[in-house]
Amino acid sequence: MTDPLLDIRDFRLHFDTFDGEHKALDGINIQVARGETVGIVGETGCGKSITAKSVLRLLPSPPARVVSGEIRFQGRDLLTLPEAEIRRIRGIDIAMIFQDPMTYLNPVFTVGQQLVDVILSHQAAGPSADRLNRRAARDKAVALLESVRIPHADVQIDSYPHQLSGGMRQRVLIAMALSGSPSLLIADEPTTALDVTIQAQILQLIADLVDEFHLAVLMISHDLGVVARLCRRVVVMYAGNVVEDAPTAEIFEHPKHPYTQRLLQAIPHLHADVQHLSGITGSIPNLLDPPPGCRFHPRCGQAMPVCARMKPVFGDVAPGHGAACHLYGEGA
Amino acid sequence: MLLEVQDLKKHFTVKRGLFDRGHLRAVDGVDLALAPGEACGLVGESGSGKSTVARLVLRLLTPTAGRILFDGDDIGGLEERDLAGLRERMQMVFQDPHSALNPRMTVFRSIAEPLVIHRRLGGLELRRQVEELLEIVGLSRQFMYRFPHELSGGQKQRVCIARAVALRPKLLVLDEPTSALDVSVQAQILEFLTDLRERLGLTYLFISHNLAVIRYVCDRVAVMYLGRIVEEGDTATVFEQPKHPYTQALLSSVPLPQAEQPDDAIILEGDIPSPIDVPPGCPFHTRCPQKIGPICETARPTLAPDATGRKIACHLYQEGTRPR
Repeated sequence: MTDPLLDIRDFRLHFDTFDGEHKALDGINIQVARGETVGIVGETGCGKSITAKSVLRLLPSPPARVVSGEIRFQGRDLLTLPEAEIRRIRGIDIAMIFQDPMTYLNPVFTVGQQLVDVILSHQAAGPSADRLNRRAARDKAVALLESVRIPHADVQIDSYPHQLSGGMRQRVLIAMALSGSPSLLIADEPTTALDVTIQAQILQLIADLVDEFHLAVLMISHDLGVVARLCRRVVVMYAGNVVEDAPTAEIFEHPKHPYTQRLLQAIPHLHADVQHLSGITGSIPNLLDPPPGCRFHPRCGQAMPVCARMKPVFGDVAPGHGAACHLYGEGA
Repeated sequence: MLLEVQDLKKHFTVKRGLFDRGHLRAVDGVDLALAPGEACGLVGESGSGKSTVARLVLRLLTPTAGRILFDGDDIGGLEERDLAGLRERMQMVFQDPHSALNPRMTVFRSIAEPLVIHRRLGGLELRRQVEELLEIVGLSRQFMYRFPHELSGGQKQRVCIARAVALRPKLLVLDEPTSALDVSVQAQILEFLTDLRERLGLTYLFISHNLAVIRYVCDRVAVMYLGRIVEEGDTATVFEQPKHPYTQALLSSVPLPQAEQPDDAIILEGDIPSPIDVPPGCPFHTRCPQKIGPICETARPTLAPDATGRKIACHLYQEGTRPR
């Protein structure tokens, strides 16, 4: 593989709290190539959103503290860039959309005003020669709203957020994200707050935009179905670790890590009568004091003595398919 | 039938301007019947009225029109003071177990409360019954004097279920009971709920937007759209051969957690209309990919059974409209 667009290497992040160090990310490695769609899945507290926010340096520090590792984007380490530099990347080269679109729109301005502001502020970061005036920025805003398939964009641009439905608001946020012509779109649960028929529309839209704008997407979701529909590769996280990373078809047909296997067995099926669903016994570990060795071993049905002593090394278990589990380690 | 709902309606008055009053038709003519021991699912998207139906059945709301027959009694018109007796026989489990439990009450007090209020229990007998309930929901006795913040989401939901079954109700209304939980915990609770229904002979009215969850728990399913039931029948039949265009689109919209994705997914255009301005005729005609003509815009299709007993409200399948 050539140089990935985004390369998260051995990234370790802790939160300093009154109760001690919350070891949120325990040395994760994730790569996203140009134009690739990658999904990160996992349950509450696995660190998927923290990973996404770390890329854009959106976490307040303190309490967040980078312990080690780097996050390289187009070859530059985002973690060491000065704030002025990261502002030229944030929202421009890397854009992000979130779960609840209403929270990210200002209720007292029209979507047009907000979109124009974003366009103008992006320009302030770029070369001064090709700056647009407000009118030209508005035309660009209409074009952006059209590109996210908002009907009657020239009229809807003057709507206030409350006048739009949830699906339309998410489209507005996607339009905003596209305004800087990003090469990477980070989508943190973008359809979780939406109804299923609207979710289908938004997923289709993101898939179209990936083709149209040659976007790379890092999609965060707890819903394996959403990731299956949109992503070519899936990264499974558990308690601050990447436990498995494989092409989408591989994850669903040949899951290797016991956690991935159990997670897939826990999902009720739409098109089959299942007699028994097996949950995963126990609950996610407290990351103030995570279990030693493999963080999944207290809940793992296939745990061996070594699992409590040593953290498994992430390695290839099949071509292009990696997992972090002692079952596949040397001597197992 | 344990529960029979006939032409149930609930309209809310909403302010649209200083003098402009609109009617929000949350539930607009719903018929539903539940046999004892059955698990019936209500699915639909936001604004479909599924939660309002649940609240009407429990008489947390008073219907605008229609009848609710429960266990032989017409409960639709009961006054507030007569409802206490009803609560013993039907109980509810809500979506967010965190806000459904009083943070200042121990698990013991939360579960004991219905027993104290309705059965006037106390002392050893109360303790014995609470212990038994904890055992039923699979929690050990050491949870008895813990507070909600010390429990995980799944454990809290088990406490809510223990409290709901404390009086041995006949009907349990579950409104999105696993939507706030992670899938691995959801699986435990769903498995447990299925088992509990058999053990205690309960009847479930199960509300969810998650179709796969409904498939796992329910024998029968009713699909709602804008305050009406558009299709109803045996869960497996409805899911494998959906007939109503909305049911077809809804099922096809669900992203499946599997390698192979269908490439013929039906993606509906537009948004769900507001329940304040419900389109005339069939409420789905504004988005329907199989609209047959002006009749869809003018005549409201009735929920009619086909030869197998499945009910569909669509002009495609109605006699005299078009032979099928």
